[in-house]
Amino acid sequence: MVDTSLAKKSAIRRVRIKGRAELVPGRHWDPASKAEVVLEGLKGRSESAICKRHRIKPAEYRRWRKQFLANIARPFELSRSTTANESRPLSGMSKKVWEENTKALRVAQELIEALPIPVFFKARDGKHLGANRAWETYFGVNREAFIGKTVQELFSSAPEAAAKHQAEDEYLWRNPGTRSYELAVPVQDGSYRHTLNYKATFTDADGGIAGLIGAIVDITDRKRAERRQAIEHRVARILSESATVSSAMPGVLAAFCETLGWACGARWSLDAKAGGFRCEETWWSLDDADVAAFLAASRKTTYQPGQAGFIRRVLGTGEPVWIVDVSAEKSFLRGKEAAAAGLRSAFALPIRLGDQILGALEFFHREEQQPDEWLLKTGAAMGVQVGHFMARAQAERELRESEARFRSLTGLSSDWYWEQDEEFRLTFMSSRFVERTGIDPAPYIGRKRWDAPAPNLSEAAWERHRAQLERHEPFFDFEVERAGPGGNSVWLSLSGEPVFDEERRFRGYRGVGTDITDRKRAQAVLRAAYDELARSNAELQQFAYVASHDLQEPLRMIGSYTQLLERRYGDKLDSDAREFMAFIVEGATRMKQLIEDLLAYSRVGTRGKELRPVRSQEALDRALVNLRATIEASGAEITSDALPEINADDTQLTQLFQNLVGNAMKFSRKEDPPRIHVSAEDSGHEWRFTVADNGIGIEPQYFERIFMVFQRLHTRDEYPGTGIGLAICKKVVDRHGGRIWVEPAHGKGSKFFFTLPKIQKGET
Amino acid sequence: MIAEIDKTAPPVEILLVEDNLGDARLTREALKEGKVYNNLHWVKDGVEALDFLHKRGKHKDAPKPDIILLDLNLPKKDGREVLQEIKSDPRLQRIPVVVLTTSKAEEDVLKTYQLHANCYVTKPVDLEQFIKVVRSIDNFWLTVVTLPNGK
Repeated sequence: MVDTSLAKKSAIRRVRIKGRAELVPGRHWDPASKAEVVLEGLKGRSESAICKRHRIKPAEYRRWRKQFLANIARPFELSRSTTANESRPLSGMSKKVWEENTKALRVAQELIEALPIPVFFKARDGKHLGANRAWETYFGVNREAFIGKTVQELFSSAPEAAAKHQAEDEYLWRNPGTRSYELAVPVQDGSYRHTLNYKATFTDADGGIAGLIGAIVDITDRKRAERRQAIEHRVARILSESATVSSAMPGVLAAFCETLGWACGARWSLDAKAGGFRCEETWWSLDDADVAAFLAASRKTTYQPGQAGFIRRVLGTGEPVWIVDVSAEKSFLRGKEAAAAGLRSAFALPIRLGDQILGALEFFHREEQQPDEWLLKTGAAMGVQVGHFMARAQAERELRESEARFRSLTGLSSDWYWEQDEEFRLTFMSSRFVERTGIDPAPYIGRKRWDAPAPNLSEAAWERHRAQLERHEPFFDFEVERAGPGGNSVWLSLSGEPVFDEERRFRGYRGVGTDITDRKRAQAVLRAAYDELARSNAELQQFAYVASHDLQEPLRMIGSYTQLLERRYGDKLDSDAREFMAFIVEGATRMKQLIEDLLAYSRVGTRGKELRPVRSQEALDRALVNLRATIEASGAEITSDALPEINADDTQLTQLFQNLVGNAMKFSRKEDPPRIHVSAEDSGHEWRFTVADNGIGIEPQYFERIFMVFQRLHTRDEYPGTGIGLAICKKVVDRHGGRIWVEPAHGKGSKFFFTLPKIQKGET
Repeated sequence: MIAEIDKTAPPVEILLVEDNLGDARLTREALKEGKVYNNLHWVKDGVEALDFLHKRGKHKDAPKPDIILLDLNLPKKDGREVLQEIKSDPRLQRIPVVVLTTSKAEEDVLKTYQLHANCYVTKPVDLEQFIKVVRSIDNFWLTVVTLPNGK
């Protein structure tokens, strides 16, 4: 359809286009001039020829041509103020086609406007032409204010991002087509978002690059997830490869700092018992001496319980703490030092194992950082990873220590380690077996213990052992004699315990062994020595008995017949002869007494009765009965306290009292009748008996000697006796497991003490 | 000084079981000084002592002794065995047995066998004591003989 009014005014313009093959010759609607333009191909005609043919001036032709080209190169005007109809440029199509296209364009325009992703247009000169609503929202910029601005003007706060965009644009101007790239850009709240930018050039009517259309996809979440995953993977790898927390932490801190651009980090440990905390490991970029110095200072300080501070807050609350400016935060004790090292923002978060807080991680940034939820979440995840690792490392260390303890105990208490399967076949023997015994374990492997000969074990003994194993009972110190190298006996002591799997199924035995050959030999030597001693003791007893008996017969002959001689023929002898004969008799009598005493002494050890509970009062009473004649003769006054029941040989206990009381009477002062007191005192695990007298006393230098056999302090003329009494006392007390001694009494006389063990519970 | 001995009564038959010549003689000497009119029969070992008591062999005419003085250490059969046999034989067990021991210790040992000797005498070295011992045997005998029918 031809607008006749326009046609009347200016007729149909005919424009010849040079060199633009893509512009189709024909009728084209120009909404600006509201006229149809007939486009003709140049077909080699010159401008002057065209002007001549259309009867127009060259200047007019050039104006038309310029207008046409400009219109056709402006594909869309997306400003709200201009409608497509009004501004629709000459599209190089017929009015009908143009109208259809315009309609489609409006649909596309609205579609773009409704798109949830930011879309914008930019002219070849770099100035923005328009953008959709999503763009406005995303960047927080009114699009009216944005039209005509360059990217540098738009991102004045982020010159690096602007430069990147610019460079990408330049590339597209040179290489028309499409291009995509990622870039972090500041958005409306000042925070940076990761964007994936798609850009495509569009051409003008001449086929030249007219501008570009761009779409932005926000990939911040994806980026973050990738980073977080990268950190977690890196941390997990480091932790899995590390044996200790201290060796793992620098790498863990580096993983966080390097990935997220933080300057340095540290781990703080909490002493759960004392409540103090300490900086353990740190990481910083190697070229940063100031930060290194700051961290070194942190490591030197141990914070005492009760001391306030940044880390204390984290440990106390279990919540992360964020410090935007370290120099302005009072609760941050190291603020000045951190600021001096060029650090600005910091945050710390707990290392957790469930509800338990094991320590804290802290990080510093050189630039001011606003609290970042995502960063804290990422850090918290790392805190959990580290917490688990610490718990595992602790468990492993405990296991290692326990294993080391077990190994050293096993090593100390035994020589080798062995294992048996469920059929009791030997499956393993540690190398120390051959080292220790010289026996090659190979022939024993795969065999049961009773399959190899052991001279010390009878069939029955093996059967008992086997039954024990079949009952799956542990066994201890099972002695086995094996043939060693060179045919010598090697004695093994084996101990083992059954092994069960998780389902309580019997899996065999494991245990330890010790070479007890030396012990066995020593035992044999000891037994031989003991047997020899017993034999020699028996011989000695026999000897003592025989000696006492057989020595006495000749003595009796000497004594008796000398006397008989004196009796019968005394009147025929002179007084010298009678005196000599008296000496013979006296000597023989004394010798007989000595022999008797010696025999009595030896009998304390050899003829004693079993110890059983005895009322010591009764023993004393019996002793006093035996001494009745002496007591009456000396006029002695003998008193006693209540005496306890004790474990004793009653005959020997009676003898003990008899000797002590008898002695006390014997060694009395001529002027005083003997006064003797017997008492007993509880002294813990034993009874202490005392026999105190008012006699002549004993000089301290003889305190030891009086208890020796035949030791006397007086001549026989003064006090008769052979000196065996106290020696027997000592032997009796020794045999009862006690001690005997003497002390001077206060005033005069002596105090004899002896102790006897108390009756233990269950003995009666 | 030898005491007067009443020889009107029948003599006390004494069996002395003693291997030691000196001791035997000493016993004889001591008895000489005692008051009891006695017949001392001396045998030198346990086997002979039992032959005597059972009137066997050369002792088939031996009298039943009124008292036995028994030494412990004897050849062939020692005093313990002899004592055992005497005390387990109903015909002999009423005969008083005086066991002569060399030491007090020996006596204690013997008592542990519970052989029920009537009396233990430790042979003393001193003759006077020995004489006293023999006198005590005299006294013992006299006491015994005062019992009706020797019971």
